[in-house]
Amino acid sequence: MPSTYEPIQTQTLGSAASSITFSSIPDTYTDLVVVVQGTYSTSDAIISLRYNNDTGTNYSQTSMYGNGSSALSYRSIDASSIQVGWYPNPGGAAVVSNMVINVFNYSNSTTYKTSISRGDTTNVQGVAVRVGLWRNTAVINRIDLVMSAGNLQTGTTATIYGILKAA
Amino acid sequence: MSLPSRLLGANPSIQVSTLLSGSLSTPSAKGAFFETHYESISTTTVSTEAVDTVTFSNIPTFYTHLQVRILARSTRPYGGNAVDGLNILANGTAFTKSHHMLGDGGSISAGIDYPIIFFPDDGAGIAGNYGGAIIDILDYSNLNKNKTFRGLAGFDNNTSSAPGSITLNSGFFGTTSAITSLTFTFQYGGIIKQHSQFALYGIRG
Repeated sequence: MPSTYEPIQTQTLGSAASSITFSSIPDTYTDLVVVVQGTYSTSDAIISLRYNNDTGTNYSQTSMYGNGSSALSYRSIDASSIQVGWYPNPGGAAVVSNMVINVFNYSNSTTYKTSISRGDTTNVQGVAVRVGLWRNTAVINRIDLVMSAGNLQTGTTATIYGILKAA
Repeated sequence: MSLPSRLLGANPSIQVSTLLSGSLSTPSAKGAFFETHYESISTTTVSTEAVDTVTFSNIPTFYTHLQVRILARSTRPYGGNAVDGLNILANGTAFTKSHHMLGDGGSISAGIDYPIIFFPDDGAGIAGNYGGAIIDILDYSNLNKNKTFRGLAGFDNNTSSAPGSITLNSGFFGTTSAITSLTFTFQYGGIIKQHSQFALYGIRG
């Protein structure tokens, strides 16, 4: 059987940055998986993703979230990005955040693009799963991970993998 | 990625536009050839809307775990909640028990023995919208254990109310037999929409 789930690229921040971009993503895989392990200190920061540098209101999402004492579900429609991490930080401590983002059939040009992600904060609060929709049939060749405020800190890593289906 | 491209160094053209400092590594920096333990076994892509079932049979038993990655939609025309439920059968038999926890954008619910995974249908919503699911079937070929799976699935419809959900799933299959076939079938009467895709992968131990 053909081996797959291959690393395409890894970025490690040498200094704080408000975004990470993977561009010129090859269209030779079926699904993408983006794994992020990072730290930030801004209160109530949101980490979101965008495809192909589309900043229009073409995204939406449904989320399920637990913070240790309660659980909730919320939705965003006609948004300009898809949340993949959202962590209130009342204590002001640096938030250690993990995210695994699955993007389905990113290289087909017939369906809108669906993603499923899981995000955790290990030292503050919260675990969340999310489904996101980009209402566009274009092949995804660029993914931006964008902070709503503040920066991802030095040492944050992001790796993108490609998974190829059987022929 | 084809073997020649691996040998030449994978993805030499990839560009990074916002990495102001730090490090960047590509597969070619780690070695010319990557051998992973995650392998493509079989894929079904629906080209004609004619069936409500996809089956993977003769699944080899030399992997440790299986993963199925699904992007699908049902043709069910019913308006209502505009969802169809995808059931999973192993070796031709439905999983003995399943649980799920579901967030619908407003509240969270839990259920048992419901249709395993919800996908959008043609009754409402956006035409090009397909739901995603990742299903892990653990130790599927072990002859001493009952079989379990876990799933993460969902779809969003860019609407302020239903349909649309994100779901954590689990399932129990009370047999110690190796799983050699998996069947996915819509149970509310829809057939599988064109462009839907079911991809089976094996993970070596």
